[in-house]
Amino acid sequence: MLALLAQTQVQIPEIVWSVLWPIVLLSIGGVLLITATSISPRLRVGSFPAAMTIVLAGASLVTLPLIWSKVRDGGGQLPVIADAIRIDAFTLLVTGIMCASLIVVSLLLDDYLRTEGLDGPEWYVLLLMSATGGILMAAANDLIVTFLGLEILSIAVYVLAALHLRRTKSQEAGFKYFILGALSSAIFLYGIAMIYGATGSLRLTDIAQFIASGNSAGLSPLTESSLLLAGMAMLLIGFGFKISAAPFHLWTPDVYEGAPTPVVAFMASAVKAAGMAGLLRVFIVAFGVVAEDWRPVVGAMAILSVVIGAASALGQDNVKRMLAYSSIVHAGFMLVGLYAAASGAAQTGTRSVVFYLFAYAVMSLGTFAAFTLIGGRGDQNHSLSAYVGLSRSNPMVASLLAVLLLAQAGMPFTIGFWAKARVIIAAANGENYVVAAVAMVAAVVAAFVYLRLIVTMFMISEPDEAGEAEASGAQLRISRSGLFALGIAAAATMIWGLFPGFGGDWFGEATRALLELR
Amino acid sequence: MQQVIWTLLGAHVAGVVLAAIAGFRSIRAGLAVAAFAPTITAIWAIWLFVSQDGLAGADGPPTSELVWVEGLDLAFRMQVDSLALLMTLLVSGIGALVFIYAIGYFAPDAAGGATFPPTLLAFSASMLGLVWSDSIWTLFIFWEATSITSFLLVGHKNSDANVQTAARRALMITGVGGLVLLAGLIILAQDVGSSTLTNLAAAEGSRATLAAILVMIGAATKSAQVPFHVWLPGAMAAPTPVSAYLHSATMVKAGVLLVAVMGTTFADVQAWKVLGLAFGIASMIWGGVGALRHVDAKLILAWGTISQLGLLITLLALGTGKAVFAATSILFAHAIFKAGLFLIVGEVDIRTGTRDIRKLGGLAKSMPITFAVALLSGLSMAGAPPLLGFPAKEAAIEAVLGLSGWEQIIGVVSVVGGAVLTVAYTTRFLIGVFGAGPDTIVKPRRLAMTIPAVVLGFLSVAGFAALGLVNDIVRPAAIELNAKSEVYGLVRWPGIKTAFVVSMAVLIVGFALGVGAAARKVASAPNATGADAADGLIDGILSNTPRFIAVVQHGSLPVYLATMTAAVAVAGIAFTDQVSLSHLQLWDTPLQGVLAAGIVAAAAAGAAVRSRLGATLTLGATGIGMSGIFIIHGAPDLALTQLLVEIIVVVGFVLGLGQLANQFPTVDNAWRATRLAVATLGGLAVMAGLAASSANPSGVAPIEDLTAGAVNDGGGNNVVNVILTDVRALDTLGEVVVLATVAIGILALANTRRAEA
Repeated sequence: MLALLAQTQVQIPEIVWSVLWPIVLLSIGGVLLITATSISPRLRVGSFPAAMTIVLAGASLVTLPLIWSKVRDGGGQLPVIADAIRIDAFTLLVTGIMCASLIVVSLLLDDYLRTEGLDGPEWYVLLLMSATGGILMAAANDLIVTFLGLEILSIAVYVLAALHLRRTKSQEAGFKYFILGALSSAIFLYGIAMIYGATGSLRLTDIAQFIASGNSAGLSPLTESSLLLAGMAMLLIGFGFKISAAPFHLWTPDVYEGAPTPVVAFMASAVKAAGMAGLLRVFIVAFGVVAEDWRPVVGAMAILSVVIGAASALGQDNVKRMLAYSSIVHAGFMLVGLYAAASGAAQTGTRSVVFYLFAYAVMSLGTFAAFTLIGGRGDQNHSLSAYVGLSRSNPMVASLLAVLLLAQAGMPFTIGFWAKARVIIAAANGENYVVAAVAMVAAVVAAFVYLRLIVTMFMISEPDEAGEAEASGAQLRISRSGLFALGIAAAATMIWGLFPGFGGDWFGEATRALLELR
Repeated sequence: MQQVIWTLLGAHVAGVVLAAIAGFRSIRAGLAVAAFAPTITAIWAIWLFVSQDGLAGADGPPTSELVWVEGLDLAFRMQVDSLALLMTLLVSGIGALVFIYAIGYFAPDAAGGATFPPTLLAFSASMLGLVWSDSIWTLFIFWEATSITSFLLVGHKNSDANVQTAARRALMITGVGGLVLLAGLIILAQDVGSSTLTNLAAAEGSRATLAAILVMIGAATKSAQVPFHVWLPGAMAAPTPVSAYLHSATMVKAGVLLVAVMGTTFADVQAWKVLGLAFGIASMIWGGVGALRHVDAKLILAWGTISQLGLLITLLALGTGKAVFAATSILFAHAIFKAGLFLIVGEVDIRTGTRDIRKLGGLAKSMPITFAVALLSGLSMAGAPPLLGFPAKEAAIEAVLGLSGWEQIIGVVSVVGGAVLTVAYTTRFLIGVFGAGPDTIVKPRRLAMTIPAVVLGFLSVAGFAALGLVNDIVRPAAIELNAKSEVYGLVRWPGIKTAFVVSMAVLIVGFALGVGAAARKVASAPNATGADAADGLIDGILSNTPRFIAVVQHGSLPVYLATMTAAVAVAGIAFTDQVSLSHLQLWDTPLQGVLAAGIVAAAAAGAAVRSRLGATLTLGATGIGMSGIFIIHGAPDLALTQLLVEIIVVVGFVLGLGQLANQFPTVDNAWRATRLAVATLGGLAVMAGLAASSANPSGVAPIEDLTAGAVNDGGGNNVVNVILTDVRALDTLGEVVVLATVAIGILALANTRRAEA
């Protein structure tokens, strides 16, 4: 038997495990967590699951510089597992976002679960799984791996959205998200099949080569292969659903409103970043050559997203819904950047999206962290009226939230300004003046929405003869861990707002990985 | 010198934080802390004026540049030239006085201590940034910052819905104006190829005209020019220190400042001058008329500000050396006397409880100091000697007299008309507030309020007395704007010349008019048509969005599904022209036809059947039909998998149905038709897509490679097995992870369910 094995020695692809640490840590750690808590039910209660999640995410973060030094020595990109996965600066950046998101959300969730009388390591395990999926999406050099990442990412979040079973809204949110998500996944998968049929490969780099060779032979995919075109359209739909770009955004407000707020923080930061990362990786690396063909669709989605998102956000009285629409505007902005990248401004455009997804993750994490704290017991205080006078009852939370909202509005000196500025500049470089103008106007309308919330928090009436103005935001019980999470996000907003180059040129490296290393 | 700019701005930022902290204790403490940064800035500015080398030192004006992001042409460029220094003196000098005044204005236990002082200081810092900025980007950032802080300050008293509406209106007009300005600046920067404000090359041509129009509109919104003036009277809802500071002395001057700075650049653009004159003259006259028709003392001043700003825009649009010089002088004098008057109104308001000139009476006796200040500031505004306003107004009249042709006629008529109105409403204001009438009960004086007002009133006199010093401040600034200003100066006694005669006549006519108007103490305020229109627009947007959302965001899952499917189906349209039927054949074997017919029948039945169980079974039937087709194509593994899945799904459904009613809920026919249409469309789109794509197969199915590889590399004979366990083992592992995640999810849902039970 052994001799036989030795004889038919098959080639096993070498796997550089040392650069896969984050994926291994998070996924195996998640399994260990559920195992440990099943064996010893005492670990279910208390902060053990949260602590373990934070340790796992923190450990993954620590490995990133080590991996980067290895990757840099390898020329900036390491193909792993028979080139199904690419570890490069872009992967590492998205990994960082996932881990940061995990840490912040765990800090929030710990107190949230205790307040709600819920427990269970399942929340954390699902978060860990979902983050693993997100990393896979960013790293994938193979459409099937992208899809696997998408599935792992999504399924966990479907459940998380519904996991507050006492609240029917939460169940409804999970159900809607699941059904619509399943449809979009099916479309996505169908698209992969079509791409495979058209190009004979699932490897992004091979697809790019196939298209490029066809291009150089004078064949345009638009006229020669409607299969490829249909496949790209379907992939766009699948990704569009994940990043909640119009017209595939319909689930977003309902799900954001219904899902438990810490989960929304995760959805807005990690899930959207992963979806956008997958979109970037697939469309820049594999379909960058035929950008002309998918460009109009991305442009249309971008314009629809910013317009519908901004217009709908105006009339909202529920802050979670408000921010859901705002997240659609942000998705639109990222697509404007991608549109620019497809219109000749490849470098600045791609870079602007890479920065934007980081910036949005930071801002949305903080904003929803604040909403978690303010939402209070039963996740109830999400109407605009609950924010009246918040600056007096909880000045700390109100000020930090104001910083984050200003950042979302694109205020200078915050990270949000750079995100928007880079996208607009990229659009100007790509000569997409109409799209840029529409995006600007939408940004102003959206800014009005954030300002409205800020004003509600800060505008307090002077005491008149009739007595003190009613400040409905009675002293909230603010958990220290939650406040810490909010503080981290606000600090990051300011740090990168003042020094957009803080911590080295990750964004440039990540862009290089997408554009040059193929 | 470089460090000074950043140090001062840094002091403001630190002040904002400290003022917020101190403001928690009490609003007065916050204000006292906040006053620090403007005070040192004002002292610095005064020191520069007094010291010998000052700005004219060897280094030239202090400049500073902070390259924010390399390669993006986004740098903070600051330069404190003579004009900027003049504005610094106003912004920080009046700012410091206003902070002190506000200490007296607010009751010790007033709310908003943690917000008001830091916001006011933030405005002060933004305004400094605006006047110092030397790059159009820097300028724009601070421009918008002043709009936002103004909005927050106007809305400080938010108990009143009217206040909120006013604040919103102000923000919308100035905010949108800011965007228009940005568009103009971008076009200008592209046209002249530079974003530095000083030494901006002169622009001409159609692009320059467009830029000029946009910039002028932007400036007009900020400086409350007719017809964009509607926000300014509303903004009087702000606490009086804010009105005095933002809405008379500084922020509303930003537009004027911009017109001044851009004057040389657009000197050859006809539209610039025409539009500027139109805005300026209309505002000068309409503002003066408005001031005569209001009975609220604060509104009288606000409309007066509109008029004065119109005068400034008119002079700057004319653009001659003398006119620019006169504008710079009036800019300086106006800030001093108008701020003083506002402070007076605030004091009257606090001490008597009203600002209505019909209810006020006998204040000249009961508030003598206040009256004296009001008299000095008011006469300076009217342009009466011996006060600072006199030489400035004199310069303006000389400037328009010195013009020629139609410009002279328009200039003289409008400036003289505006001046007469100014004297008239000033007279009416003084008589109305301080003149005879029912004696108003007056509360005791608050020292913190009196001192700043007295300082400003005194400055109007001192400015006239020390006119040389004022000249030193104003002239360099005017020269920067227009080199021809060099020959002019403010003079105490012009001699009996045409201009002097005209200005005396203006005083007499205006005084008579004012006395007459003061006799009729009736409110005949102009209809707020413009303001209503602006509010209506915002309200319309706000009230219509919910309706819009109700249509697009229905909340119903089937509607969402239908929308998404429809969107996908629409995408299929692109392929319809590539559908070719020539290569299609009916079937390989008739068995396929039989199965297809069965599938279609089952699907149709599933759509029609009313019972849930029936729908489940028909759905299962379509799936089983599919697995039949797989068998015909020679894929038994796939068929088996499909069959297994179908069975599990049907069983799962049937188990789940126990919780639900037997029948689907009834739906109306319209919705039924919609669903039918969307489903048909979706099906057709998929068909079209498939037909189109099979018409042009572009790839080669790698089945040969796979089967060969399965035996040689994978060591197995079942190609499906090899694919799953070897060639694409990673995917299989991934699927296992997916399943594990699903399992954990189900576990979690079940766990919670159990805990609930």
